[in-house]
Amino acid sequence: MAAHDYQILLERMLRSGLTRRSLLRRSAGVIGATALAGISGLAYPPSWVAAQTAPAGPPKRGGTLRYANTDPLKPLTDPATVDSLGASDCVRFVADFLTHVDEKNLPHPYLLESLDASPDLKTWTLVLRQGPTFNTPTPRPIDSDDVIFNFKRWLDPKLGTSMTGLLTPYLDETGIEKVDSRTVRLNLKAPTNTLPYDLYHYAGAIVPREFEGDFLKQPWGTGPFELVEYVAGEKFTVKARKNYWRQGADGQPLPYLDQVISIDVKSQSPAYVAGLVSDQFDVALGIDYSAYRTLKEQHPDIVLSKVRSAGTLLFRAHVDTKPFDDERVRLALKLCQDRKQIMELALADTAFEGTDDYVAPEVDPAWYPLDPPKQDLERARSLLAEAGHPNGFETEMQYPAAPEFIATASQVYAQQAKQIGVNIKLVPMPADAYWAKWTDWTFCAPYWSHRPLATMTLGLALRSGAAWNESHYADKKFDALLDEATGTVSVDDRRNVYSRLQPYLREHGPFAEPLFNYALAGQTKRVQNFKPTAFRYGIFTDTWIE
Amino acid sequence: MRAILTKRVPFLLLTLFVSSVLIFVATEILPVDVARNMLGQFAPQEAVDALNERLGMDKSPLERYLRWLGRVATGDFGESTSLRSPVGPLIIKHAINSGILAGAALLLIMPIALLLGIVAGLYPNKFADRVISLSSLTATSTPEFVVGVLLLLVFAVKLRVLPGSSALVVERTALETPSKLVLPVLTLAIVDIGYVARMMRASMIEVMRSAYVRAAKLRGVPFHRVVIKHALRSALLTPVTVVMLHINWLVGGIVVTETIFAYPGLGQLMLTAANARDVALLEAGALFFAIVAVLSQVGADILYIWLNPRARMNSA
Repeated sequence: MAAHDYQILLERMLRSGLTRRSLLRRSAGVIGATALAGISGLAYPPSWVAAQTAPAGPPKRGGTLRYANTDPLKPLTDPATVDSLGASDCVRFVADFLTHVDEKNLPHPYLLESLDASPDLKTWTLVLRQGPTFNTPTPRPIDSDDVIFNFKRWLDPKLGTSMTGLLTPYLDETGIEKVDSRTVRLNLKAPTNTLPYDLYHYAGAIVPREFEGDFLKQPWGTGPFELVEYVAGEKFTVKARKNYWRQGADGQPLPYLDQVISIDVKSQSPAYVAGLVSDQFDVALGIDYSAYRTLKEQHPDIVLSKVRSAGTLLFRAHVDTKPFDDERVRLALKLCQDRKQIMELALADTAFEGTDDYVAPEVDPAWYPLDPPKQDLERARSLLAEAGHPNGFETEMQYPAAPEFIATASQVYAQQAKQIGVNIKLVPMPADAYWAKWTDWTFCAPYWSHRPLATMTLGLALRSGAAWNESHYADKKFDALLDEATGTVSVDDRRNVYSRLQPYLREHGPFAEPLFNYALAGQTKRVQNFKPTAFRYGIFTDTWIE
Repeated sequence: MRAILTKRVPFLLLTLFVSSVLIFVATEILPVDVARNMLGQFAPQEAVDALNERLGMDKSPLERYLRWLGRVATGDFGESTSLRSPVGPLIIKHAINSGILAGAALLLIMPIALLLGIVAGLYPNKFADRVISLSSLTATSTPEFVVGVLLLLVFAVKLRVLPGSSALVVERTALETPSKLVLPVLTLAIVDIGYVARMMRASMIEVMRSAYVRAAKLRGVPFHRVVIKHALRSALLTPVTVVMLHINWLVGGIVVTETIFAYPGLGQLMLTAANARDVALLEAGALFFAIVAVLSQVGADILYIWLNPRARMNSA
């Protein structure tokens, strides 16, 4: 535990009203790695979940929980290659992760007992917890060889996992070092503060080193449930494992539930609204705005949650294609946004204003408090005139037809752009067709899902040459600012970097950002102790039903 | 019967062939990278290229069509790219679900619609006819999604007497929990009963005005015997034929109803396939619908001949 990290933790805990004793208890029992708390910070009060009920009484054991999965249950083979939340939920029941990010976006060690970083954030030490065992045909405890096996898989570009893009900027295979049977050291080629979050990425489940690549044939992990069946496009069922390593409040192994069934409801709100109301489902995750509004206005018996997230809609352009190669044109396309109007028509109170800089206010703890940019049509017109487009120009913009709010926001934005002479011809596309070529569109409306730290999204989307750099943005000054932010452990220091990074992106970045959205979920009152997160993961290890 | 089959089988084969060409051409137009769809967006390009080669995607469209036709002829419909499982069993499983829904809907639609149509047709422009005609027209002109959502609101949300979702949670088929069929069947029935009833009414009015019915009445045959013995069989010709042609719609075209109630039928499967640009599944599904369409056409012909002695004479 580095002294300065401890000081940061101490400062934050005390600021949030904890005593030194409770701090010590927490740092030993929950946080384990002070670096995690330092990175995440506690700068904001825990008001992330707008509606949540406290458990009605002591936990009860048994029963089946059924939940509507609005994300498709895509075919599942390898946990490392899942690319949908629905399929990743199934893996998460069976296989644990090294870390856990809670409903307040705070990272905790999970399969790890501790995760410590050196002061320069280039050496990370991972110590495994004692107790978790794999449900392999011959059950055995997890050890550091398993962790190394997974890291090597994640770094192998041939596997095709999204973990590769997250880890390779700062780690290669030579940097993985086995210290002993429970300890692994990562010697990074570049400093990072995102490791605890990256290890919680949905493709980062830990499988045993005997795993050969087909999860349906070898559904092995240290998780609280065992796989019963997985039917792509329809449902999956898991049943409780008898000897999970975590214990419930009653001293018995978790989970409390006997069984969980997830149903693919194809994002159809009538199905899950009616299913929730008529007790067909206990929980619906990732519900859309219209369902949220219906449930809120007409069904007070359904418990709704609204979690502030960094999920964001963009209108982005290729910076190497005319006329978007001119920074003035891109800035004009940002300045024409009337965010309040876009939000009001697209998502109303389930969105909050975008910033044109990817940093979600009060989500990323290091957010530097800047007001959202205001509409400035006059400046936008004069920028266009300076760029040689005094009468504006015409362009096409592709957008995915689902979810619906993207279509609405795109239509409102096109109307607003008309005011500065930019005539946007909207090209709606089936969502799958859109996402199949999402980096190819010159001007389009992508949605980026929630990542707790803005540096995570910025590293994927805007760093020069990054795998998902869909705008072809390459800016050395921005890269340097991002490197500085990514290599900073203290939230206050990172905020300091953000105070330069945010204004820079607002002026020079390749996208307009009208809104961030809340992650919405609904549950019946019989569901107890379920904590929805901005990730929209279905995690029911500590949940019970009345 | 043999004559019908002799006439219809070549027609069936020709229809299937033309359908297969059209389906293949239509799916060729879709800009799909099949291997990329299967392996995901993070898969290395080499793996994608290798799979495309293994699947024969690097061959000319004609070559691929012939290979596809050859495989289909042996019962191999390929693998679904979106669900990564063999297409044949997927189609069968969802067709069984749709068949159950369609069968239940037909069992409800036919007796009610025919009875209403007969009553309306026997007493044209009387009170009963006006009530039946007006409600039939209203029901027919209300779209499925409105009827479905209204039924959901009343029975699942307000009264809470029926399940709001017909997704199969632990059941293999909906027959294990018949209550899950009630709302989708009612939705289909409300939309369709009006249509069939109006057709039956028109047919009944026409038959009741025909010369042989008038002659029977003049001979003093009791009214109920005139209706049952003389009029009904002829009056059934048109609605029954039309209902047979409806089978295709009930099996594969009820996308809206299946979607509202999250019922895992063929319509929903095809919607998923179209959204995911799952060519193999779309091709097999469309071919299945073509087969159902042709078979129900043959069934309609047989039924028509059975009901109509004149047609039976001509086909003999």
